[in-house]
Amino acid sequence: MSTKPGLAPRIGAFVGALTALTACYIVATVAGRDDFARGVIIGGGATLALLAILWWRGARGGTAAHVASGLADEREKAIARGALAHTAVAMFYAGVGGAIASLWDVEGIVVAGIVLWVGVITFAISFAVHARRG
Amino acid sequence: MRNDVRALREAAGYSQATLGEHLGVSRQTINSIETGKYDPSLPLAFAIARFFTTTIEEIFHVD
Repeated sequence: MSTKPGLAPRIGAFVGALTALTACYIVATVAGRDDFARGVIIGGGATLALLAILWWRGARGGTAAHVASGLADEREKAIARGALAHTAVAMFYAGVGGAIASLWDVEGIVVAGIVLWVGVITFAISFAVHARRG
Repeated sequence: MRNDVRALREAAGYSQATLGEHLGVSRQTINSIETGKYDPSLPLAFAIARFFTTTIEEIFHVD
């Protein structure tokens, strides 16, 4: 935990994410996809709330809080890198699977959702396993 | 890789958290190094050796 980022970058990131979330909600609503818009608000809101908790925990928290707060040391950065690498591979395979599924008229929005969820779940599991193993 | 970090730390009377603060890493990272789950980078290994006023070779041993 050699670096201590100030509050301003965190607030900037939070406002940026909130703006992106709002934009996605508006686009989905205008497109008439109310279910998608609700999903954006629930999923995005939950993610932002989790981030806020991790930022609040900061240096006092565990590996996830250190990484989310920009306070990660070399081991914690390696854990995050490993988890992101697994996520990239999993999302690649999910994308290939989605492309094949689209041959059977699976909707694009369903494929995109599956790819995103595969990424989120893979990252969470891989991060937890890496952190536990050291 | 085996190491004597725990023995050196306990002999010096430091907690894992205190040693981590001195080295700029988390308590969990010190614990992972001590239990052999994580091999530190060369800069961190040097920092550990310097902290205990010894050499890397005297702290870290290849299995």
